[in-house]
Amino acid sequence: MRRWIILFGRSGTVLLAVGLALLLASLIPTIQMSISMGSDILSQRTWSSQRTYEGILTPQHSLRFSVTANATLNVYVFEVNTQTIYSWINEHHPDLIYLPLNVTYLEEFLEANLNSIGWNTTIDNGNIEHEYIPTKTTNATLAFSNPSLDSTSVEWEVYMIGQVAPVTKVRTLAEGAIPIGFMLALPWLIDSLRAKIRRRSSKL
Amino acid sequence: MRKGKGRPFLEVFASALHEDYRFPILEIFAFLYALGTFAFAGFVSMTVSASGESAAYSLTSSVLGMPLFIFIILIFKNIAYGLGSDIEKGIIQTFFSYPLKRRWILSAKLLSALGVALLLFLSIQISALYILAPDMIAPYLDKVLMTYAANLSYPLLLAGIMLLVALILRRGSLALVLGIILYFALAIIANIAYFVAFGIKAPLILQIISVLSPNVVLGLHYNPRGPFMQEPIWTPTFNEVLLYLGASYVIVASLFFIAYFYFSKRFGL
Repeated sequence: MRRWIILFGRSGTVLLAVGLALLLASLIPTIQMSISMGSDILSQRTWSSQRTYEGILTPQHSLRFSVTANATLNVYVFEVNTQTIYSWINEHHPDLIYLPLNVTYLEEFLEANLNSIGWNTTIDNGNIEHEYIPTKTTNATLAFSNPSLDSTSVEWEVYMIGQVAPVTKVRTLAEGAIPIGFMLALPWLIDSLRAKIRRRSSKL
Repeated sequence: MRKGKGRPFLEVFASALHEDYRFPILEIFAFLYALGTFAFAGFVSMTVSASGESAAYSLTSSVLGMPLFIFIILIFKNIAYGLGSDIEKGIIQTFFSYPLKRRWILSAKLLSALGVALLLFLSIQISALYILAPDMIAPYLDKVLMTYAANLSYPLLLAGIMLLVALILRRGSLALVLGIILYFALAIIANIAYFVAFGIKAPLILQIISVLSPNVVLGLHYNPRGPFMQEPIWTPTFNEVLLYLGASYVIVASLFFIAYFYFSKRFGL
């Protein structure tokens, strides 16, 4: 029985140590690495990724942004760059002369390349804030599309965040590991403490 | 192991565990492995154009630097102060009175010194890597494990040498000193040889290092230009990587076999 208490107890203390390491990793302050802010008016049924963010993200480099729109607006984080989207559209519409900024072209691209959407949401006259943390090294493009028949005014703020580990995920795991580890270790800790007291009293 | 030998084996194993991982040694190492994986993970040099396999290799290699050194400290300590001091102080004689063959006594000791340390190191690091970048690790788990196998061959080779020295000289402290000297000496020689190999364009040097340290051949498989970004002098195929990896583990296994043989047949107190 005592062996089992030791086995579970030490497994618990190891889990507790790992949980504390995860908690510490989640408490390390993040670094704000770059910023872009601006506003634009999107004409009816157009999309744009100009001036927002386009670059490479990793699990340690996330994208935090807030977007405000005065009408319906689709917000996307694509895991491809804008040029890839343009190339795909031009390949399928060789007769196009201008930039393919019509929403219809974007929708065609998305239909054929669903996995290129890293994250998306729709704003209806309001504001969203989000942090996009990729699970691999990937291209990332923040884009807006106006699916309505009216113009939409949009404002955005984009921050690139450097972090040691994905904070939310790591903290959730730490919050699970620490109590479980403590519960497993408790009988062994009590047992060790009792043994220590017994040794001390026998010395006296 | 015949029926009925399990209990003495567990007794020896439990005793070795108690000796090797006194509270809070195991916990400190677990803490360092977990935190080290996040702290040393390197995505900076990666580009999206790198293949998934290559990216998984780069990420795994990046977290292996300092945590691997911590792992080496742990196994050196376990062999030198666990097994080595048991021999030095004659405690091993107590285990010889158990109804257990000598090879099983050594197995129980090594299971504690190396097996538990490896289990702790691999389980924490791979889990932490998965938490960090699941889409880079999960699809290439075989390549991740291969990267670990390639990087662990050299520490295990040194552990084998240390074990033999501890058994032959019966001095744990001497084995520890020799292990540390060998670790740094071989690391320095390998780096100089790497430099020379690219300088005089002699792939043979890289092939010789790869037998002892197959992470060289694996690194060149994914990046034939090497760390100096020179013209490739040797672009190993995947089969060649497997061949060198196999050869290095044959050497490691041979060392442990000699240690087992010596401990079973020749070792006397």
